[in-house]
Amino acid sequence: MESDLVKMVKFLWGYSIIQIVIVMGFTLIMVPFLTWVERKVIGHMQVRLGPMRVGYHGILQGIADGLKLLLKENIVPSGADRSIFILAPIISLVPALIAFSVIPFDTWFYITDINIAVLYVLAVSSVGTYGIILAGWSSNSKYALLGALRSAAQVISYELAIGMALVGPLMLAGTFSLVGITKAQTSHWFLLPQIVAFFVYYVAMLAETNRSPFDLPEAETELVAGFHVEYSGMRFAYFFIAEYANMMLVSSMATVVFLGGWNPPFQAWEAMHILKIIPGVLWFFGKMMMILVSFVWVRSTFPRFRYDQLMRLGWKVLIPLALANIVVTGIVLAIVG
Amino acid sequence: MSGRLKRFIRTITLIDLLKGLALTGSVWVRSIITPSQVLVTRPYPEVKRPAFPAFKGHHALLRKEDGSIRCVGCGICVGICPAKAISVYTEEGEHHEKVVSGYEINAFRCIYCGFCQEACPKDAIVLTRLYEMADYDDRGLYTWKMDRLLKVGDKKPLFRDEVDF
Repeated sequence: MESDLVKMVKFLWGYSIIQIVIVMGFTLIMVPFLTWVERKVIGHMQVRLGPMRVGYHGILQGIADGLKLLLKENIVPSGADRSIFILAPIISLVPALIAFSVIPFDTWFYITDINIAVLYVLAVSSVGTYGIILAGWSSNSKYALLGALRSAAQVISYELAIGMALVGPLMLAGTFSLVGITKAQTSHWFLLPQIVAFFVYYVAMLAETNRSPFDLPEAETELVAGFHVEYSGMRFAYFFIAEYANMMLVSSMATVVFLGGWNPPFQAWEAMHILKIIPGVLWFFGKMMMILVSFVWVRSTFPRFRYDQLMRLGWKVLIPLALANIVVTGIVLAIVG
Repeated sequence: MSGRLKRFIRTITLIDLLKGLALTGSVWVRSIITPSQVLVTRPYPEVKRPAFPAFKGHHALLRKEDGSIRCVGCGICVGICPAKAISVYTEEGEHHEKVVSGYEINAFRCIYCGFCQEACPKDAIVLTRLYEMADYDDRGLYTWKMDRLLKVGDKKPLFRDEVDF
């Protein structure tokens, strides 16, 4: 039933180097596109036009920005720790990209399927925080240091919430493998049974990626630009790409764990099997884009949290909620299954 | 107690957050369906904003019906100009008549009060609604000579919003 094109793609897919190039290329190409989407959506929500000049309705704006950053001078501040200052953007970017190796985009569209994929993603994305901390520390600037300190405290607090929110779906799926979790959702997504976990995960992932309303590490009204205030040119672009890659990563995780990954919706209902005509990659991509647009939507709506409010929300609301969700899920599983 | 309870319910149902999201979301949806009615940004160089009816912009010298210049070189505009921006040069013509040989406006000095067009007995000098006076050249260009003023005056219709030269 498969066309020759699909067969050819699947044959080429057998070589891991091609898999890596495709997934990494996709991630990196999505970054300028996402910056365009963000500026456009925020512009429209604020009754502005957004980018209009570069390409059709400004769609090439991100590429123009990237070229500009590529050609700009890389400045190292005189008091900075030079080697760490150069290393920090790389530490920030690389984990964000390698975490995509376990994300299953379709039944055949993933680089590798390891049995501890969820732990791998959580572990690798924590390493990215070192990039932020080192950047703030090595910059020899009070604003950068304050941003890095806030980021460290914030990410540690919310990593707990994000991990605990993922435990509920993992109990339902009975596996750590992301492919296994997606396959467990063939007929029912985990969104409805784990709606509390999804809420906790959603809030925590906004905080984890330093996005508004939790963008304290780069609060421009207080800290100029936070941890990357001293960076310019391509090194700044690395942080920028890392932020967007992290956004895509947490959105992919939410898609896989809560929204059924490549599975079309309503599969418990026989008549809706017709939705399988649309390839799983597109389902995955559509869900991921919806979450990414909701990031922007939230950013253009809510003001920034105060620091104590951020900590209170994380420790007193999200973590107890996630724990309660684990307990309830466990009890229900013990009774039903 | 009921006030606290109300506040607690508002907090846990996230009703205020959802209201905010609904507001921005509705603006977004409307901006996609009918962009021109929602978005306030003017795409300026492509769509030019019309000047007000009594807008006083770039000066123009008008001609008579036979094509000769209306200005007779009386110099009333020079006298009334509070900014001393106007210079009129006249010389003797073939039949010993007064010929206007030069008419200059210093655009840096001009305050666009419109006294010159009100004082002019021949309706020779007018202020148009043209407002795009910026130029790439140096400031020498901002002494507008007679040929430029006549060129602006020759545009038909005269008081339309954009006159390019």
